[in-house]
Amino acid sequence: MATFTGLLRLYAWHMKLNVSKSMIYRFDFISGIFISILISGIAPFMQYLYFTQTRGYPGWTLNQILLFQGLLLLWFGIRDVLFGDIRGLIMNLVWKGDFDRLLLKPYSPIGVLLCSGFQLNGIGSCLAGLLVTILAFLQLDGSIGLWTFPLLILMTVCGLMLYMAVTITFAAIVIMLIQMGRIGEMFEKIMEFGTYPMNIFPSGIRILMVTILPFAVWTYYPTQILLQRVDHQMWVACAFSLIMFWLSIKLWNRCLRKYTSAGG
Amino acid sequence: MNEYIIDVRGLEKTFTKVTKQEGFLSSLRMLFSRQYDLVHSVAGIDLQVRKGEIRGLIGPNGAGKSTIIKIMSGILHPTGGTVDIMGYTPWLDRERFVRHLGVLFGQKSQLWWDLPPIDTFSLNKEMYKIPHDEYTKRVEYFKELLQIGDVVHQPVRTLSLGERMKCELVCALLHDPPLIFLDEPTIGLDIVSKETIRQFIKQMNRDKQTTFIITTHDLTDLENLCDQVTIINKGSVVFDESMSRLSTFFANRKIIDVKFKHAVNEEHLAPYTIISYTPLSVQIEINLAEKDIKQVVYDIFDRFPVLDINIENIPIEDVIKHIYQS
Repeated sequence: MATFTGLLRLYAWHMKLNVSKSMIYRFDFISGIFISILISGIAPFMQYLYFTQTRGYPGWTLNQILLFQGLLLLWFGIRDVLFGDIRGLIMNLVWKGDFDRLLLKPYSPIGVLLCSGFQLNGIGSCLAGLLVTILAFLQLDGSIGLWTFPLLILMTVCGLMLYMAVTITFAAIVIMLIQMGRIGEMFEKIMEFGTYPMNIFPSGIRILMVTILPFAVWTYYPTQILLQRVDHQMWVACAFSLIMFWLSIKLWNRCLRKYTSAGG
Repeated sequence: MNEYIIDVRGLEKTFTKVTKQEGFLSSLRMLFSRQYDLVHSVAGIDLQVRKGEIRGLIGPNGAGKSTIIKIMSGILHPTGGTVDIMGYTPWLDRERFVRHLGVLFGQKSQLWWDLPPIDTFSLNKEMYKIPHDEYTKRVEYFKELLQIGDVVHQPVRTLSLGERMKCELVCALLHDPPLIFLDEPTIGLDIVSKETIRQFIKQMNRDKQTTFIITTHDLTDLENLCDQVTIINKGSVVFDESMSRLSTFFANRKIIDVKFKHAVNEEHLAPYTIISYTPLSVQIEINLAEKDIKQVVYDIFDRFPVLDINIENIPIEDVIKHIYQS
């Protein structure tokens, strides 16, 4: 518990320093937010075009899919703000031998690594996502029940745990292989399954998306919660997110022993 | 209680390294089958260091110094042997152990590039849970000792290498560790910055009995700082004694440095072992087991127009070179 609170405090410090850094390059920071809002807006627009020009997604109306897109943007925003480009960072650190520095800190190196991911630039996606979500939700005349927010918070926590699990697994593989450009790309492509409503996939992939790759916790189930269409598989996905996190830590500890550093 | 702050016995570290022949075909071949070599980077090292010592750890490039430092810091797991540092096994008790350890890698930075060093110091304050009063006191102490009062408030990217290195030192020492590893702390610095850093290390050692392990290729660091020196070559300890012992390593050999009033032909110096010669000066090596130095000096005075003469020990640099090569 002491380690966890220590890491949280460390995260808060990294956050402060990152904000200070962003403020030094004000123009880059402000233009970054505007560009990020602009780019974020393209995805819902593309979905709108896709939906109006084709038969759309079975079982989803236009406003429902916009709600999904809003939550997806919001998820991307939260993910980028909290963890930024940690996967790029770890590759760089291990390749140059700078990962040694993390091993000299009185915390778990993966904890320090995850704590150093804060990136204020992701705030653009958060704002755009929040706006699209609220507008779509209002269009849908949705209602908020007693369990809506607790469930959304639970999904966010599970989503973050799962994302950390993916990042930790990636970091563990980097420790072993040092250079893994295309494998990183593969991670990205696999995670893209989470950017579509789960029920459009064949049943095999649907099972995967609530078990060993429970990406449904990122956007699909939060959307279902707001649309009041939750099913019991959501709990399976939550449980698997935690299991994946635990497994990734085990893998990390195993791979860390194999770390060879770089020449002196 | 162990009398040593560092007690390393039979330390071994073996790496598997891929070897590649020259050329494109060899690169293609490597896709299907690879040739591995076992490299014994550290081959059974014993090392004992007492509290309050400043120990020089030197050796040629690739000798295994950095690997030893990394094992002793908990970064690498050894293949064999035992390491007991302040009661900890570094790689097993890493998180607790590094709270009592300061490390500076001269070629790597832990400062935030875009922010002033004082911001990195505050991050370290949080990381090592340093009480606020202690932190303020220590930062003031370091600022005065290293003359970095203004420097700590300027962005790191605008600082000179010397200023950055001083701030790196503060990062390594801020949590007041009793043991510090400095890996090439004066690399690339000018004479003044080197001297400030050396003075600082001496002062810390005097004031707080801090133990320092210094790896360096700069022999002035060794001569000015270290009480004891350990020379590593090919993963083994080849010399582990005091600095004074190192400087008198060739106690039975002396160098006579002679300057002449006017040019002397090299042929006339034939009976001596000449190390260097110009028509107006010569360096002669004397083996005391074979020759009486008094007699040699008289002989030189008799035979040559001597302007100045000095008798010296074999330079440390040559001693170290000899140890590396042997």
